[in-house]
Amino acid sequence: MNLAKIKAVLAGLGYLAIVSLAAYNLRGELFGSSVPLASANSTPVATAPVAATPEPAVQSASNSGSASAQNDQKTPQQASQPTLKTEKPAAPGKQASAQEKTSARTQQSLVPVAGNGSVAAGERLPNFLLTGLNGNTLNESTLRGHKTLFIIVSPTCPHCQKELKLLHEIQNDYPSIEPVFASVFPLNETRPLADMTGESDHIYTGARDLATSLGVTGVPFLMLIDEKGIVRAIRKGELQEPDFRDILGRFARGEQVPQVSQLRNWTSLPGDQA
Amino acid sequence: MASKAVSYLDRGILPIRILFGALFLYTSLWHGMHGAKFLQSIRDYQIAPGSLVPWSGFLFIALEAGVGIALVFGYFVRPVAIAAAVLLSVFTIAMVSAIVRGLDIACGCGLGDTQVGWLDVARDVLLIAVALLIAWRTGKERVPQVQTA
Repeated sequence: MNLAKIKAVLAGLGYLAIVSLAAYNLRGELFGSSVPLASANSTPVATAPVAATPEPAVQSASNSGSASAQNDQKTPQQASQPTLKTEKPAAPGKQASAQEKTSARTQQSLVPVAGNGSVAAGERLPNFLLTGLNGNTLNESTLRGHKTLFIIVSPTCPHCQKELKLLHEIQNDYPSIEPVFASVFPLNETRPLADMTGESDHIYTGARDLATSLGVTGVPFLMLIDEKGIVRAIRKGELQEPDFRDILGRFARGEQVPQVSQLRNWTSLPGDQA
Repeated sequence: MASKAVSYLDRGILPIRILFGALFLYTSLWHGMHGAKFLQSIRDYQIAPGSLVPWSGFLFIALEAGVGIALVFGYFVRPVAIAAAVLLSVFTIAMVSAIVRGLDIACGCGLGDTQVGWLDVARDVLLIAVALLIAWRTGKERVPQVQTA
């Protein structure tokens, strides 16, 4: 084999190696995301059952605080939804609803799951477990059934403090949206945030792993999550009241929220590079 | 004087081409290894529709790798250098558009991954000039002549 052939083989192999590496790393995005945003928007799939999640669902043990308020919105049947394994053959009269449930599960399982360092509109959050200041817990499945304003915050971030104070004042104007403030710090370090902002019911702790999994490098990091648990919009950095009212109003009315990146007034998380 | 400068340039075009190709190879490798981060950067630019982002990201990586390999190994140098200039122009336009729209987003270039700014635009313009220089002078390289008696 002469030098030219060796060169050609090396070039071909090098190219194949890089493209294969990229394809491997992007396989989830390239081949896994099969639900178009429009269909996810228009499909009348109500609260997806807990059993629909492809990952092992962590059952919520929450009995108080906002998580319990969220659970209150579910019927007892929904709360005690059987897992896929325990599903029984449907009676003839119930066949249609069983089909609907299967369709809902299929739809839900086709929605791409965020993680591996990124999150985008149209995806749903990976499973997580947060603990509230009152000891209540919150996981991915408890976000379903209502609209959620999910903000990853840090108690040491001045922008987060301002944002929480503002939201504490205006959240009553948007009763259909449940706020969740997920702190990346543990409980004892997060408690001062409640004292500073007057907000305590909606603050949760232990979001560091979730933030890492979503590739969040700074706070506040805001996500609007719809009733199906699908992220509809992402905003990075502190928002002022008019912007907040604009996006919350649109989200509450079920309108499209513009996707605008805003990294100003943003605090980098320790140990990360923004 | 000018012809002397061009002569020096032609002697240097081979290492310039290889370094330039290596830069593309490095960025394609970085983008391939940090796929999710790269796609998030593309999303942050808010230019490509969401459904097209994964495939456009993959296409960018494949093109970068192709350009890098071809320039390092010396295949189809002139058209590939022009393709590199076009690719860099696309990146530059995207960056200018992000700056103009006031988006404070990560560059996604694979070179330090800083917030996008005019310095990145200037760097890309410089790289476009290098790509065009390679395309212009390819085939005119001179190797040092061995003096014979």
